[in-house]
Amino acid sequence: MVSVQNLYQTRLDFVRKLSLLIRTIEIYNSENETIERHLEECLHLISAIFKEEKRLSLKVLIDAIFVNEERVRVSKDTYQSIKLVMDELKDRRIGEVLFSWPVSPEDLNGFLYLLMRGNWGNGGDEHPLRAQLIKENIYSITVKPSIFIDEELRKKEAKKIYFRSIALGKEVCQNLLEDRPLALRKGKRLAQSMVDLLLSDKVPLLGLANIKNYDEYTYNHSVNVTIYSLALGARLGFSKKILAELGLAALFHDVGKTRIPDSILKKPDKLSEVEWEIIRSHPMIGVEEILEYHQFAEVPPRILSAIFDHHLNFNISGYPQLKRKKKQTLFGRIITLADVYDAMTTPRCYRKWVYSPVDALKVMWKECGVHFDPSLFKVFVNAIGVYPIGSLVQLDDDEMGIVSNINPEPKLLDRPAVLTIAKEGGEGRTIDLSEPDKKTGGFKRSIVRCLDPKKYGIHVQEQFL
Amino acid sequence: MQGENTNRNQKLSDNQNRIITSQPSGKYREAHELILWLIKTTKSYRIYALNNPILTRFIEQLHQKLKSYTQKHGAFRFSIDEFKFIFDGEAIYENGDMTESLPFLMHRNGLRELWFDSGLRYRELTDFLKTFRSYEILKDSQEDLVTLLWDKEFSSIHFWATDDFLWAPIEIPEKMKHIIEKMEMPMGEQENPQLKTPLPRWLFQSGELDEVKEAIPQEIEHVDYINLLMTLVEVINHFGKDRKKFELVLNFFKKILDSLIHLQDLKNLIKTLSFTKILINDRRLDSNEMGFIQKITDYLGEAQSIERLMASLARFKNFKHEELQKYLCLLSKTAIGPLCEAWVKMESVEGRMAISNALVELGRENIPTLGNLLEDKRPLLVFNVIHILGKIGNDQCIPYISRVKGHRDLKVRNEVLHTLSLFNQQEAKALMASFLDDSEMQIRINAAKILAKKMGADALSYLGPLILSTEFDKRRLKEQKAFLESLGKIQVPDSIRILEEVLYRRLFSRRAQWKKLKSCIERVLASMDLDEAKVALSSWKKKHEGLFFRLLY
Repeated sequence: MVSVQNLYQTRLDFVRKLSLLIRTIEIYNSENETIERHLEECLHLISAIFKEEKRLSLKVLIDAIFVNEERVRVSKDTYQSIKLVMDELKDRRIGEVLFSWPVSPEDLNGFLYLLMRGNWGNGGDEHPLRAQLIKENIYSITVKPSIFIDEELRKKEAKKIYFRSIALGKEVCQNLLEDRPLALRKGKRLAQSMVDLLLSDKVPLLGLANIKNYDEYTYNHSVNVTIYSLALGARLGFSKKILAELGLAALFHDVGKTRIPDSILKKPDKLSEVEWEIIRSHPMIGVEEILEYHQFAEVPPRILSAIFDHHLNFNISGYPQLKRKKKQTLFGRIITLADVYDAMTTPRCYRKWVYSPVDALKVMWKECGVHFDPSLFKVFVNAIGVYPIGSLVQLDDDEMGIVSNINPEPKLLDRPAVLTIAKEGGEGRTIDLSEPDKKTGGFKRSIVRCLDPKKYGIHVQEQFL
Repeated sequence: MQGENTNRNQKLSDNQNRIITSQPSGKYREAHELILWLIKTTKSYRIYALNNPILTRFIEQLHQKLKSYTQKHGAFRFSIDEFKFIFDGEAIYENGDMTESLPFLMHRNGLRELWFDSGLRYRELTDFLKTFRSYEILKDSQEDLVTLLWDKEFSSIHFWATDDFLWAPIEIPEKMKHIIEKMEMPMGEQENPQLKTPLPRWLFQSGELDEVKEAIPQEIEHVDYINLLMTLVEVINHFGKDRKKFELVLNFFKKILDSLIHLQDLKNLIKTLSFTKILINDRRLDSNEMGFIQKITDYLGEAQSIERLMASLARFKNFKHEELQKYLCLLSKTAIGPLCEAWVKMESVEGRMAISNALVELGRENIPTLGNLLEDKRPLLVFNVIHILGKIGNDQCIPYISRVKGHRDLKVRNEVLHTLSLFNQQEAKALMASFLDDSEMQIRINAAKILAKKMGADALSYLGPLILSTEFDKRRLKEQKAFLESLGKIQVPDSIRILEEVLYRRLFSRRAQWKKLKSCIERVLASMDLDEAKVALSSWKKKHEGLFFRLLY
């Protein structure tokens, strides 16, 4: 039996070897000795994976690659290889490559040549390469198309999930007021849909998290917190199941607030000490609601802890006040970060301005070790970016743009992709700020500041709707 | 095995014949046949072990049939009614038996439509079928069937669950203008953060992210039940004396414990119980919190929890008995009775041993609880309790053991005798001696042997008078021999004297028996290490030969 670590290494080596083969095949013909050697080595790795796992699937989901459903982690050494395989498959709309043992060198070679040389157009539900493989008598390797081909489809799906989640928030509130059970099952399904979408492409949901509606703050806020929490969890490599639990916990983290009167929640003036006490009781009320619901159906235990913990703070200085010290749970620590970030970047009835994303992160950074787990804070920045998706930014050539994607390379977090604002009827274009300037050795373009969209009459949210 | 398999097959096909009322025709026939295979295979998963060749054959055939169907017609899609599978508007399978109906199981869990695409892999199909099996195992935990199916990420098997249907139409704004006025707030503008923010410090140093990722799984792979328990104690504290809320918290944790037992997660149960032991000694706990902890530990020892554990052990047979023992030892005294019951039912030898050992530990401080179980009518249970009391070895156990010295069951009495031999108290010795008069010969023999072995010269006071009594003459030769041999084991001159007395006194008793008894005593004397024994033997032989000579001539 191979250890988990060794198995992980084998999977990683397989992706790297595949990357090497793709690069070599682009240069040499199929009879080349180097190719033969790489093919042999690659088959050796395939055989090792089959020996352990009895199957081999290589799946691509927008910015991640999975071997047998296990995400292959990106490090600075493996980044290039993984990105190459990912890009090549994505460019050809391949969502999954499935191997069945035995795989011959001829089959692997034939597959790679077909993959690289063919012009694979849209073939509907079935990828055209699949039929071609069969035609070439290659049965040990087959392909499936990417699940989300159309960006518009993803956007639609994200919108549906986002607004359903808001509707769920309202339904939960109504149910509680009418003493009906929480709609936790629905929450579960929504969290699962969010996980599916986020693992496939995080951009649409992170983009929608820019909707900061102060009128329906509680509902929007819970959904945004869920999106940010899931992005962080995904960056940490959580499994789908754990992510869904995290999503559910985040979705219901403020469930206790439904029992707090609007006159306090939406009070524009300073709260009295008594009112503060009521606000501080919401985690405990939330726990009570979950306990009540638990009589009827299943509640993962982590959810209760997360609701209890989400204002406890990293150093336990928050609320509810504890009689004896205990650690803030991981879910609690994650939701705290997402909760505060969204609250700071959302207009509130008592605060007539909002923090820019960078300002919010700066303030939060100062609170690391007290309010927030310092390591998780860094992962959070990694997950949402220094300039989160939807930020309006000014570039060094005075052009304005909306951040449209985060750079997956941790060292290039401040160099996202930006969609420039169209000038005088022209069309905006996407600029990758990590593009190097060969002359200077630096970068072609850089962000110089974050801008207030309102000041320029730009609705960044439109971009994601 | 083959016969068993054949019977099971017969049972499966009988069920189908009972369920299917009419044979569909035309385009529904293929779908109907596929459904039958699906049902048959799902049922087989309940009956056969995963590596059973019959199960493998069922799966292979189902896979083959699904493959050829989807290649011919495209996806195989059907909807799920409460007790029916519906294909293209017509019911192709119906089963109203709630205990075994697959449509009912799916429907109850919210599944409304299921379809298999072309390209279905064998592995995917087995994963799908296994999910139903694991759902039946996990149904007492926090899992629901749809989540289990979702988690598998099938690429060729798809489903629709109820919650997808229950959504009322929601308004999805096409443009931001509907909500934009609610968002218009000024935002502070920011200079390049690279210059004025601590950006470099936000970035991970080399290897730092990997370290975080390595640390996180420890927190995320398993629920931290200790932390959860601490949270609940805080919640209890916050709720104060409100009994209803107290019960809510207690029931929440009880359900979690149930699912841990159900899944046989002994590691977490051990951790949790060990922590309750620490908590219970925490002086800061108020009576409410203390009551909560006490109720948790008591709950795990209650009959229903033990029964649940036993069911789980029977399901996952390859449990670690050291772990089981460790867990059981942490239970409270409420577990003693249920554990004794469980011991009786337990089939695994290691399992029985683990329970016995745990009962010894639990019983040390609770001898009366254990002792009172000796009144149970089942000899096997009484037998085990005696054994456990013997292992505890405390003087307080003797009065309880003495209560069953006259138990109707031979094995129980024998165990009492053997157990008493573990005690050094006079009371125990006197009780052992009382078995010399037991109604059963074998027990009397054992008593003689044990007395001689354990009490040495002291045993003479019990064995001597009995052997020399006229009543002893009436006993069977086997018993007489055993008693005399036991006497011989006591290497003291007094035992030789008793043996000699028997030799001479029985001189004219029944001839055939006498001959055998004589040679037995001779052998016993010969086997003794004492000089007196040798002298006694030679003197007897001389006298005996003279007597024989006289009788002959």
